[in-house]
Amino acid sequence: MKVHCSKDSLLTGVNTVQKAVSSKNTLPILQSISLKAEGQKLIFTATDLEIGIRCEVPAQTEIEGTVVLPAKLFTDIVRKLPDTTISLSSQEESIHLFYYNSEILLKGYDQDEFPLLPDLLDPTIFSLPTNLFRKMIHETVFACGSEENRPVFSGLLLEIDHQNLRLIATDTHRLAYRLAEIPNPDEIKFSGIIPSKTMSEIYRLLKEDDETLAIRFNDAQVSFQFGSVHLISRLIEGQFPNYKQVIPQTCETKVYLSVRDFMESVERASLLARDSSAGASIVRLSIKDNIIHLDHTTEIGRIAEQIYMEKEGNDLNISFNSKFILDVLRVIDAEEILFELSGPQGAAVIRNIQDRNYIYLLLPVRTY
Amino acid sequence: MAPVIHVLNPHAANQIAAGEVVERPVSVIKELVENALDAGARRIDIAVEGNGVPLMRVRDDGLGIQADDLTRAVLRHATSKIREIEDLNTLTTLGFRGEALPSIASVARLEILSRPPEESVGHILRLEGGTALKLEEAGCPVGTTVTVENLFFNTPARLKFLRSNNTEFGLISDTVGRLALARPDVAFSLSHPRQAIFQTPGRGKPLESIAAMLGANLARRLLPVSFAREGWLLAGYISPPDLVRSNRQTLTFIVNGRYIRSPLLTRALLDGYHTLIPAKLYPIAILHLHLPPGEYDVNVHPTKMDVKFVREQELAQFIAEGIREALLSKSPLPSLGAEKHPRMGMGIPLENTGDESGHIAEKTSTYWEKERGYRENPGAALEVMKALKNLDSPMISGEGEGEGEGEGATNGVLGPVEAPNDSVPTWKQSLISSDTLGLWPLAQVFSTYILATDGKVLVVIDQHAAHERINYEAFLRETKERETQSQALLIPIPFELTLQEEQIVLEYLWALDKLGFVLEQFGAQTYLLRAVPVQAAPLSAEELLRQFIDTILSTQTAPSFDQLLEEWIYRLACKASLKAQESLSLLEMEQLLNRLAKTENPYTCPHGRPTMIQLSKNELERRFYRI
Repeated sequence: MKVHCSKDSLLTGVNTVQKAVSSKNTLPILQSISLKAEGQKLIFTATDLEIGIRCEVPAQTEIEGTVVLPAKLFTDIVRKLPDTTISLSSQEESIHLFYYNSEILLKGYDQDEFPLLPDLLDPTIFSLPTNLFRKMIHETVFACGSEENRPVFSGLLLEIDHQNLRLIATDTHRLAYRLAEIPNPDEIKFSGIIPSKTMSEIYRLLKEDDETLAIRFNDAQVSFQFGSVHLISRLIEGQFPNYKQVIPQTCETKVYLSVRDFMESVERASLLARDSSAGASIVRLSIKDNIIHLDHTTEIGRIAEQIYMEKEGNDLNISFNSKFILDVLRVIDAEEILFELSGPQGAAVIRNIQDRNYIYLLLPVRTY
Repeated sequence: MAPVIHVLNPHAANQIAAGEVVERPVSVIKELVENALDAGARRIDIAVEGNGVPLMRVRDDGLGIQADDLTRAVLRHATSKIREIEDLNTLTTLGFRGEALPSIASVARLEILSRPPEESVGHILRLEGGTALKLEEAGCPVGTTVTVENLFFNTPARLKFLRSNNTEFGLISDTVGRLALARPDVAFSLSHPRQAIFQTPGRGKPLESIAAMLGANLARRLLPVSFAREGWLLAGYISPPDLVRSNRQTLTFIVNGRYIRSPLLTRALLDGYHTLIPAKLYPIAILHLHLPPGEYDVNVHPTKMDVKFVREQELAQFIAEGIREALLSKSPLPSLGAEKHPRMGMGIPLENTGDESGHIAEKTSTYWEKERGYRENPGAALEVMKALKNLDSPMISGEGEGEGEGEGATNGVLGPVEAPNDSVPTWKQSLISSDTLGLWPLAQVFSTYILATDGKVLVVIDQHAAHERINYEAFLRETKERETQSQALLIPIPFELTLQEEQIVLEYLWALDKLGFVLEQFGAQTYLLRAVPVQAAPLSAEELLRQFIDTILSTQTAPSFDQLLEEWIYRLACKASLKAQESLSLLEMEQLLNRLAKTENPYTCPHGRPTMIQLSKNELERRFYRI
């Protein structure tokens, strides 16, 4: 292989595939990046067998070919290269990098050992606008759990049926639900649990100017293609809980309040939680007439705040883990929310007033 | 068809029963010594040859047995100690089953020579393999002498499984030692033709027996325990937290004068030492527990080594509290001379495991070598009694156990005792008052240790360990005081339990609810976890629940939240603490010492390592050979 490529393009390539490189693995080949010169492109590929990323950058190819290089070292080298055109030329498993009058020789691995990213055979394709999907991920992925013993909660449920595309995430304490309406002329149906790591990676790699995202899937895998990036991930096996069942249909109290006021109050209150104590910070809300009294007492001190709001229905006192409130307030794309409550023990729902397609469900904390 | 099931002849039945009581030579000794104690002996002399098989003789000065009773004494289930089974509830004697003598008789040649004080002439009864050979008059002192020869002569299988002479005799000396510890009011002596003997004075002073068993230097360092509550009394001696061993052989429990083994009591004792000693190390303890006879049952096994208590939980808590109190009221600092990493078992003489030899070997610095050479003195190993006189004297050696006891080990039984050769103040005097510590910092060395003094001793404080203790107690308090907060779950977690676990969950549902777990029955042995404690956040709620159940399974008590989170609290405390290699100003050091003084136990870090060690003026003077 012999190819010329700008330093920036090389950097884009290694940065894009970075997250798919296995950090701890007994197989060195999984800690490597494959570089393939083909046409006027240089194709970067990395995979840890859970997730695989392929990315193309422009290059001038003289001789086509493939090399497999240790990922960390190659990435570090690329970062330190001068901002100029780099020539790469391979000799069996090694590669020479030429720039100005200098040269680096790097030993690589046997390219035949590098796992090929599976191409989904006879996949179903579904396209949607990039920005929409990016926003959907942003509004849901934080609610995923991290527990390894119940893997379904470490992923997001992606559902496509009729004109509906849904993303749902839960860690059993709270649930984020996002619906988008999109044209679906082929009446494609899909339902699968995608690891949150994959979704975060897509969120990171999606650019504002990418226009469409193509989703391909089969029973075990899902792939996303956007711009010059192709990302493939396994699906999490298992049964996602029936989210429709847990979303309350009615409520006893409706509170309309400003996201900013609420967020700032809760943020101040949570400062009083000592990160040293094993506990989370619990804020107590007393909803009465048109004021929410928020108060939080810890070993360090006490905070009492008042937030003005509009209310329909009953007064009540209720406590929440402040993290569960802040998480949603930080991502919700609205100035005002509707907070629906059903007594001090019932599930609470936070809705975006401008966008009825977003629902966040959280359960209160019982203190005694 | 001939009947298949038939009744065994008495001889075979006796031999089978003997298997339970007389397992090895030491069982014979135990039974005979207990008989002697029950007979009110003031003095018991035990002679053993070889591994005990050739000859074992126990002589006492007790009540003796009349001629008529002699033949009855060797009948099975013949006893003078109880009449009805109800008598067990008021039992004060060690024996009651009426099995020991017949069992021994069935597997050995037995000779009982006895004279009650009111008779002028004694009688001797000889038996072989359980059959009485003859009964005749014989001259003898008041009391009873039982001689057992040719043990297991008719059960070669038993003989085959005996260990080496040393092991068997080691077991015998261990058991006699513990019996002697149980009864400091009785003079014991153990003799062996080839190996040296040990003896206890029998003057009713527990510390004297302990000194005879473990060495006088070690005995001096023990802390007294005395704790009473509603008819229960816990008394005895335990080691300070810096005097520990790596096995539990050093624990002796005596219930109403009976030496027993009890996992319950061991656990309770270790609970008392919780966070004061490192994990997997054991203190030295000789504890007498006095209970009303109706509150426990020794009739669990023929050897009567296992005991069942009626109020197990309360008893365990009582003991843990008693130990805690004894430790915290007089917690001495480890001195520089004190041992660090004990290896050896209890220093039962004759096993050649002199109590301190293990850790001595580790102190290989040339200084210690020299020090030992200097102090090695053939004349130092005085007789037990002589050394014992100094036990109660205030001028006893506070330092130097570390070096002192090592030499003794090689000198046989009498060895461990060394005449106090320096007038060092007791550890009690050098103890820094625990409410203020009274320390002021002098300097920091190696950016890791604080040198401080109270004017009498020089104290070296490990800044990390000290800070860790402060933080640990603060976090523990916070966890205990925090109100329960229970986070409801949107999607309940199904939880499958075994039948046994289910019983526990049902029984302790109230405790789980208090912790913040809400469980709902969902089907056979399946539950739904509907809410979990908020503070569980760093750990998985399911793991916590499993841990809760496991704790109950192993200890029969419901753990509190701070106990469940203990490991986590340790970690928090460690993380929040000053590390080594951090420079401190004098003011900071002073603050640290003040806060340390306010902790419940300033002397060890939560993992049981010491926070400080001390060097007394005397120790310094000794090292400069000024005295």
